[in-house]
Amino acid sequence: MHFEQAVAFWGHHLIMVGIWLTLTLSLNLINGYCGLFSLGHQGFWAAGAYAAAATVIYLPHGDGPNWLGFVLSFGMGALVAALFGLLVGLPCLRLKGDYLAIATLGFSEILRNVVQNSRPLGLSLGLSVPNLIRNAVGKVPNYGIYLVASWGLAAVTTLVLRNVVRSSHGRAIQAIRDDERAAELLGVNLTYYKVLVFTAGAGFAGLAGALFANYNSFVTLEDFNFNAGVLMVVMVVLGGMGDLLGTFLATITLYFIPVLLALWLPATRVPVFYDPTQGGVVYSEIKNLWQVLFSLLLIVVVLVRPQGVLKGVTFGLKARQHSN
Amino acid sequence: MDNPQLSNGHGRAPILVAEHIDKRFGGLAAVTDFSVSVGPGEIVGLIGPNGAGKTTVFNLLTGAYKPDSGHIRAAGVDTLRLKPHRVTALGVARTFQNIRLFRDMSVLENVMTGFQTQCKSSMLSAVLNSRSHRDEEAKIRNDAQELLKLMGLAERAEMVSTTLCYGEQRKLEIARALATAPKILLLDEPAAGMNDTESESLQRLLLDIREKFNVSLLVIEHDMPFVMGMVQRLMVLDHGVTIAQGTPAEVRENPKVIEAYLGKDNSAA
Repeated sequence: MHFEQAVAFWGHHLIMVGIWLTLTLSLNLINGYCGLFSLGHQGFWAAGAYAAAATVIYLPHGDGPNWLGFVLSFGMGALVAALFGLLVGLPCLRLKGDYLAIATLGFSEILRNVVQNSRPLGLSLGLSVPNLIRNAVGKVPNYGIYLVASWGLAAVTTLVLRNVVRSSHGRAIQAIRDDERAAELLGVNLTYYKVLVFTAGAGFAGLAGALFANYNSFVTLEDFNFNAGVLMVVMVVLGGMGDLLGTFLATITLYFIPVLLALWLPATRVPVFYDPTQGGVVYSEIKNLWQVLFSLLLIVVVLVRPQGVLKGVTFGLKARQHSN
Repeated sequence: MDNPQLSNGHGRAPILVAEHIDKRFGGLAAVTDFSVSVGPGEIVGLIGPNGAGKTTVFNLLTGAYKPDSGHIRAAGVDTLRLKPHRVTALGVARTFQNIRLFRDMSVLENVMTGFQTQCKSSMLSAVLNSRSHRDEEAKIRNDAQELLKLMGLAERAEMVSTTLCYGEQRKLEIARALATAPKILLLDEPAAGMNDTESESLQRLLLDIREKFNVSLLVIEHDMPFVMGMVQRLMVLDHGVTIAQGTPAEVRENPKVIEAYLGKDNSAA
């Protein structure tokens, strides 16, 4: 591969992995640590991305690049997503399990429909965001800057989560997951912590969205569809609910499997199913079968290691969960 | 409460008072006109056949259920509008009949979770892992270890809570409840599943705890020697109605009790 092509290819995917890490880590706070099964994280991601894009595009500015809008867009992305988190968290307090999953999914679909019908947000065509960094420093350094930013954000998210889950607040959150009734009778304020978990988790997803909007310089609803939400949940479940290292490994692995399949597998079509209405046997590219692979993987993991692939593995050290 | 001597243990302000509480679930009157008053350091037993409404009383006293009528005061505060975690903060702690430990946490972390109401450290100082936060965590860890030592569970601190044996899990629940700094401890069948030797040692332990933490005890128990041997007075529930109360000796003689409950067993206590 030509140098610039290689930078564009690997640079893009490494930046996206950093963004996905922030998403799955923050989803792990909601689903893994607090045990609130959310299927709407893509909605918070979208809220952050669209809020950031709108800030860069619409914030009044003089001639030249809208640097003020660029800086503010990250705060706006986090704030708007966190507000949506609060908005979803409050009515969802009484819901559990499948019902909570349905409600959160419903929220992200509502958001989708609102955007689809809002002209300022580009309807279903998407929004173009001026890429201020690339215009200022050029193509290759742009990848460098966003690479540092996306992995920096993932690192900050990890650090914040690690410190919180080890604190009294983290114990309250995990107590809610293990036994809500016992938790509240030990003095855990359920309302406060559940809403907090939703708001904070959504805030981080919003930051990831703001970074994505500015880096990608284009946002469309296709980026934040239901499949993206399911993929996040799969990453969290495979890595282990309430396991940060596992989330890292699962996210990186699952992100790169389709990328590498597309890169390495020869263009071969294989028969996948028989459908007379489509003229008989339907063929698909091998590389597109990754979703089947993920589904099988998920079934095997849930059957064999429901706690996640890595959870409880100590690597010869004392158990991480119960040390110090 | 007709007898003032019974209703007010040591002549001081009662810790926990329930007055004429009723609780219905649809057509079922789970608890009818229940009243109790537990003074400082008092040990009160609550007995009755299965389904008599004993655990429902605990759920009402801790704020998990709200009574349809009547009043409940903990430490002098009306708890009717309070959420359970606020009732806990007033000094009412409980254990559960069907053990409810935090299964993904270690033994020590289970107890540390009980210190929730005493944690002052803000979310921000937790995120920044500030000095004051680390000091508070160290103190809680230390206090939790002391509680485990008291319950004879110090060696188990790092184990996952659900790997403990049954009796130890019950003790861990008591340690966790003590972590909330209660004024009164509601124990739901603490001796269930224990043999005679174990329940005797638990009885001594509970009496020690009462002395050491100056805590009142309200005990639900089916093990008659256990409950008769430690309480100052007993209340007997049947179908949600308080059919008798008094000292263990009085209750034992009460024909209503013998008919409803102890009568089924000729060797009554």
